[in-house]
Amino acid sequence: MKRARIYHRGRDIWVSVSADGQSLHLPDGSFIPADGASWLPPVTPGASSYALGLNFADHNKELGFAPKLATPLIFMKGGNCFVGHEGDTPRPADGNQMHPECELVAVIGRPARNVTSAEALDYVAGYTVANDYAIREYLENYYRPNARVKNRDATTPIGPWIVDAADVPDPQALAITTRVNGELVQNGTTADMIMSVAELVAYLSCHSTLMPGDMILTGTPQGVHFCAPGDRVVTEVEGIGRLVNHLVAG
Amino acid sequence: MICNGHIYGVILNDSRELARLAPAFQEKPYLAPPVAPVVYMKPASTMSHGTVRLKPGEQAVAAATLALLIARDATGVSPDQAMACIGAAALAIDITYPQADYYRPAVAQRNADTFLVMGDWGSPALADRITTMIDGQAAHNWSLDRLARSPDRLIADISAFLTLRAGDVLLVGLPGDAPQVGAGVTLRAEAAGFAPAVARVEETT
Repeated sequence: MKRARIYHRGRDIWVSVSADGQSLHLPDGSFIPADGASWLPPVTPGASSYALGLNFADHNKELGFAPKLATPLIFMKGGNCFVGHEGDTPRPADGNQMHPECELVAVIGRPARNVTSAEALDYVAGYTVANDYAIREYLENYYRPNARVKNRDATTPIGPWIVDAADVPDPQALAITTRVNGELVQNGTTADMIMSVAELVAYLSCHSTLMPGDMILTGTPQGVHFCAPGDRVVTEVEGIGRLVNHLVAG
Repeated sequence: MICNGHIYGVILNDSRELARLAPAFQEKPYLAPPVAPVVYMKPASTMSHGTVRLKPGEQAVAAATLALLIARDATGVSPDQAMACIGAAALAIDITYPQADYYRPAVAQRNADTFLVMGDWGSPALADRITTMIDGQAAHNWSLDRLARSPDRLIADISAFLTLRAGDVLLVGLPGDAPQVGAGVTLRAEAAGFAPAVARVEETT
């Protein structure tokens, strides 16, 4: 099953998405067409979101870092940075080195504290897709990647929906692609993640309790491609979803 | 209690610490002084309910500060407009395991359960001098005059790229000379006009 969050007649609601993706099942039992829905980030308000840097060896090499870091590079993101499917993301006038980063997102389903990798996936409720844009001009070497790069308003498209974990037999065997105006700029697979979803859940749960709705953006493969206002950026994770974003001058 | 908001804080906002580290800022891994506010977040699970729990044998830094509750979204505000976005204020003690440097985000150090101690919320105000008591003895005190970015300037500079939203909490800065504590003590932050922030420090079991 897929769950999405939409804006509908004056409020935000969670809906389920039909198997063919064509209609949305509302809490009151009625249906509306998926086409034209106002998609919101499928994010629980107030939930904690963690994101991985440098979690793909090919991307690390591309950026000039070691294939595997001694400790995982993890930062947090606020709800301000999320924007839903078909939303707009502002590209600042001086953000010439702004690039998309397609990522698999794991959504936690129940409190996870000191769990092992072997049991970690039992704590994952589902998966979605994020595009964790970066603007390289704003990088500073303090808590890098710093908030001015990674916690900007509306610079992390996420969605369109959350796919139940039960419908994702192996989160480490999914193709990851990004297309900018139709051109393929990222073409990787979750098989190349340095720390797997299970290892990330286990690692984070040893530092603090992960709660239902918390999210882990698991990192991106190689393919740094700088974008411009007007670009249509489509990030897709196989079997999870295809997330469309529009870059606008900001 | 924070329900739907996020907890943000900033490091490197103590002018004394900035002065002390100024030579290091020219060296690796930094190579240049910080320009934008250096923001961190604490998950809701860090909220203490009267105890701070440390890993056995570990020490942690206990940094008393001021927490501001955002009541109106702050996007691109000027310092003049910033304080109108604040709805409440409280004392807080931000706990972290010591960090070797400030190069990489410190999720493993800052995010442990119970690592944020808060006093009760009161009307918006700026504490004058915040004192940290350990087992009833004054162990540290500092004045918010030491902040390199005053709260209004800090909110303005963060809001240039990150909307502080109604319901979010902002910790305005940490003293670079905050004391370290181990299990077995009682921590208490005090300031005139504010409810204290109090917690017992224990070991995880």
